[in-house]
Amino acid sequence: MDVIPDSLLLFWVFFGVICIFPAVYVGVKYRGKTQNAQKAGK
Amino acid sequence: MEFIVSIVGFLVVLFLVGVAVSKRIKTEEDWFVAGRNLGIIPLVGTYFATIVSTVSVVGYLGYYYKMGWGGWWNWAGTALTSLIAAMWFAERLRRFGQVTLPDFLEARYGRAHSIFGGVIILIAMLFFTSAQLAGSAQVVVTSSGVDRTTAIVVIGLVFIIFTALGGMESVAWTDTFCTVVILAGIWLLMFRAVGAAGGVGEIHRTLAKIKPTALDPFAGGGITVGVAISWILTWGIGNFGAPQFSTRIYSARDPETAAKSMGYTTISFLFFYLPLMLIALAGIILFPGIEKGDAVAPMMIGKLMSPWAAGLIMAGVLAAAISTADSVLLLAGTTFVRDILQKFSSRNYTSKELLKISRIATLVIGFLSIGFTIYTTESVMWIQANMVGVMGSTLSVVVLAGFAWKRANSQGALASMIVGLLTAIAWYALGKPFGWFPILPSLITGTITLVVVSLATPAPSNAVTDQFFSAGRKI
Repeated sequence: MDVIPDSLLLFWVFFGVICIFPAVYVGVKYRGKTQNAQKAGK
Repeated sequence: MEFIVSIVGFLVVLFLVGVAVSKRIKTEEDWFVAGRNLGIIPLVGTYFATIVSTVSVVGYLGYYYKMGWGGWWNWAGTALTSLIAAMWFAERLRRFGQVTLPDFLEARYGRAHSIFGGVIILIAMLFFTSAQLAGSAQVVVTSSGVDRTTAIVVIGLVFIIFTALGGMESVAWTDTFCTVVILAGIWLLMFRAVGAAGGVGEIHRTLAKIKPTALDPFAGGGITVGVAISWILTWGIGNFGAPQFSTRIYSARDPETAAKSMGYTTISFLFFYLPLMLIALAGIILFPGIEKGDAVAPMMIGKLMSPWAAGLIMAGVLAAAISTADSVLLLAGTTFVRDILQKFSSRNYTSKELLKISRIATLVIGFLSIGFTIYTTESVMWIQANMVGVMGSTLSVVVLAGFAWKRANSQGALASMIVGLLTAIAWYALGKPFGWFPILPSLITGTITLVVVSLATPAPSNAVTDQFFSAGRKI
């Protein structure tokens, strides 16, 4: 056993997903919008 | 002495930041929603600091000490709120672009809903401000031995004055400062505690021998799957009925900033709850056998840290309490002026008058909460602890359904709010069966009532639903 015990692996994946996914989602979603707006000169 | 210097220093800086930022306030919109000009940093800072209170630091540390990793389920719901808000809710609410949660209720359902919601929010925020002030004073009393009444008056005056002067703008920036202090204190304690226990890997290896339940996602049966789900649903959905959440979305510069800030808050929560858990796990090894959960944090801070470092950490605990208190005080002032006074009065106030009235109302409510806190009784403390649950039980279903279900109508929403409120009161009276918070049964009864009554009565007009279901979908 090291830093992450085997029994906690899925548990950690669950928290990793709910913590990181929203940030990645908004980053990807609005990156495109911002680029389009810049291209349109807005 | 070090404690007093750290705490006084923190209060002075906080006051100066709050007053300095208040100079930007020119109109009532600046005061209510920071001129709708907050960027991602103050939005994440103020939302984080409002959610994290003294209970989150002292209470949760003790809880994790008892439960181990399984205790983490208690913040999964908070993360779920941010996830739903980032992906769907925040953009729509910000586009609607009003000031308070009752503004939304009025536009979507009707004036009666708005006033009903406003009264519930005002009562909840009055008690909640007092509860947070009591928590703040307790931190100072415990760490420095200052008289309780003096602590209540001094701390109360600091945040009441800057909140009255600067409204949301001051609250947002002082909260952001508090976020930095909270995280600095928690990370400092984590490095010391984890270091003393031999590092993260060693902590886990030791726990596997002396307390294996601490490494079980369900605390070796201490937390059932049902309880974990109830944590997630209670706060994941219940937070949508919390006006401190919606006010921050209204204050965003634009819908994109609102959604982005919600997306990034989950990471800020991870930066808080991860070190908090590691401190608790180290505590199990370093200080085994502490019976009272609330005693874990003072014991670890007192034994592990130098006096100056302990002072900084206690300032962080105080920051957690004050940053929640100023936010709920602001909401009490805003709700009184915007949702009670303006809706009952036929007079058209000018922007200058509204700003003046808002500041005076906040001062009066703040001073009332100081008196309330000094002369509190057990029954008042009971109401303080439970009123926020009652508010979430009444409002969360109709707020979410307002954007999610076009067919939800005025009659269904009013019935749902009443049934949600009555369910919460009944649940408390029954002594919280199954260990569930009242928000969970209220979500069930409120949702069923909303659906049944809405389908049995006429659909809302297009003029109403078009505000929330047509234009709102395009970014």
